[in-house]
Amino acid sequence: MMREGREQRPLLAADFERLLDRRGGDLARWPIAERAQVERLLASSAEARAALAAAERLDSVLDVVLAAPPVPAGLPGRIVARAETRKPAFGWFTASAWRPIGVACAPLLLGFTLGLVVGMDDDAAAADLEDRVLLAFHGTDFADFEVPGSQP
Amino acid sequence: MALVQHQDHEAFAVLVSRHLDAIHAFAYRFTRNADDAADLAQETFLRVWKSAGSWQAGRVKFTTWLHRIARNLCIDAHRRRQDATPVVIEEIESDGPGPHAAPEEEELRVAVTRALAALPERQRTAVVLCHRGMSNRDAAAVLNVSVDALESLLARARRTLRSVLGEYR
Repeated sequence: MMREGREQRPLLAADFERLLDRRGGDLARWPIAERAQVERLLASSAEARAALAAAERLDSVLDVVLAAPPVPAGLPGRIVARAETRKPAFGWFTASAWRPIGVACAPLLLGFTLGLVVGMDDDAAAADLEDRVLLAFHGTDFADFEVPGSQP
Repeated sequence: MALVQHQDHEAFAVLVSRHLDAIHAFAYRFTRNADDAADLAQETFLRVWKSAGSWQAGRVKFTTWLHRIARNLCIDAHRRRQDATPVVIEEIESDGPGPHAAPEEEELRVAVTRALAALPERQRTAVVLCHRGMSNRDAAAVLNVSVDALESLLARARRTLRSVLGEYR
């Protein structure tokens, strides 16, 4: 779009072709401010007219390719009926009045969860260490520690 | 939508009747399968109903949010379908205007349909949203990109599709 106070560079056929790729061949969807300039270019440039014709051809093929069938007759009623059997998820939580409270509690919950997980990891590591020590000393000082397959 | 957030079934019915055409068309254009389009449209609105509380007025337009839900569901369905049946050329070939179209027109339609299906997802979605439909600005919001990025996606898609047309003069 042209900025006020600056002279507008004339639109060239190559620029127009690039714009057609970005905006499509339906000039009614283009910014109103640019249409007069496009009209002038189309009146003077065969290259621009060919570019527009190619874009319009693509649009008309897409009209066919992207044509969708009508919505099945019973679908709206089916959707509403299904909704009546479904409760909104966490409706009490997502309601805007409760959201700040939920957000405020999130770090607390995260801290609690992290503490639990780290604690579990420590226990697991301690148990693992205990197993390694028992196995290392088995058959020497810990002869009474029974291991399947070991000789008495 | 405020009424839907308060679980008003009548308001939900109005919302469905107002937006179902657009979402069903979007899902059909994306999947090219009538049954899938109906299922995906239904699931989109059920997600809206279930998650109505998470939409915040003023943050994102309702239609943008709605299309984002539909797009995500379409992408998931497309992935599942690709895993099950890698290429569904027969459907593309058997779908469309039928015996009234001239053979060369029919060939062109199939070629463009295939080229469209082969586009990267974001390029295909940009074309599906913008062709005689959403403004570039609204489509950019659905894809969560700038207008410039959206137009770049459109330009790359249209160049690919025009090159297919060039083979059918």
